[in-house]
Amino acid sequence: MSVTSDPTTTAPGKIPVKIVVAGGFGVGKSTFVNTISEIEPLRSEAMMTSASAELDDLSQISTKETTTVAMDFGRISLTEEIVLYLFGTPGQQRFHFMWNELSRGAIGAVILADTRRLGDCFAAIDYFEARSMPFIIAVNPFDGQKTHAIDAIREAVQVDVKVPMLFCDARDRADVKNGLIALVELALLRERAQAHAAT
Amino acid sequence: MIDNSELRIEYEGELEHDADATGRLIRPYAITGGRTGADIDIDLEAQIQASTRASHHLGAYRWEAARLIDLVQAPMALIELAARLELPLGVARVLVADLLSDGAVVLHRPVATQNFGSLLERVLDGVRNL
Repeated sequence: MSVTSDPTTTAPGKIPVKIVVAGGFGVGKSTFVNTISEIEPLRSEAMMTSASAELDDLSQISTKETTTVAMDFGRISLTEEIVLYLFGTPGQQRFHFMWNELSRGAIGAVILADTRRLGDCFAAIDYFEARSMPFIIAVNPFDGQKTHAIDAIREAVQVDVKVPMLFCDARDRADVKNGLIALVELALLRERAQAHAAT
Repeated sequence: MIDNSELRIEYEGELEHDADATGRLIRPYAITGGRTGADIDIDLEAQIQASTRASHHLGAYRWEAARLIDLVQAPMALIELAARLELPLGVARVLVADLLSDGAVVLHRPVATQNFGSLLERVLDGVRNL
């Protein structure tokens, strides 16, 4: 891949790629991004349109009320040419409309799961499964103990054995890195399989 | 039950702070003339950079736009710009679109000359080397 250089610029831009970090509220998405981002993680805000707000439960308060959705994101320069953005999805179900924008063109998703509240990651699993996007499940062991065997968790969340699943302490850089590697490996395998099927 | 009195208090509280945390005296959507950016197609991660002509334009812009140009001397993603300018994403999109049409900034659009697989291979190498 190359980058077209506009005659009015002096340096070619980097190629942006992105990975979505999803999961339930309070599962450690922001921590995951913080742990590996090269910049102080930033928060960007978007407003829900009134059309979206009408679909929202809180719209009972006022149909003209706007709701602010906050997205945490981080940046990692991978090479001279490639810059990776990590987007933490807004956790609450009513913000799922933002996920479309966040996941458009994304390599895939790291879905964080909390063994105490496994059900919280189901919405994210359903979302990425329905869109055939590569995803992995990273189990954040909150109690510091990996008391649940991965196989048991897999059975509880009912995902295919092909979906990589690993323990990932969101505060641990090596764990976070391993999660990202597992996702990109999966995306690459899928891409190769699709390229092979197409020939 | 909806507690209207509480809502009202919150609203009035907001009005008291005409200058917000950024010291801005006008509301974000006033910058854009009410446009929300919903119809502008610039990806969150799109890389924006000041053009070599940007300095000729600088005097013509209000401070939000001037600060934007200042921030993109090196390429920066739309979402990062929005966060650093402390503007809602939609407002940042409108600002960028205006500056694009003025020729003060350019959008780097990566053009695929190789397949996605080879890009992913390079991403994988990059992540492994973190």
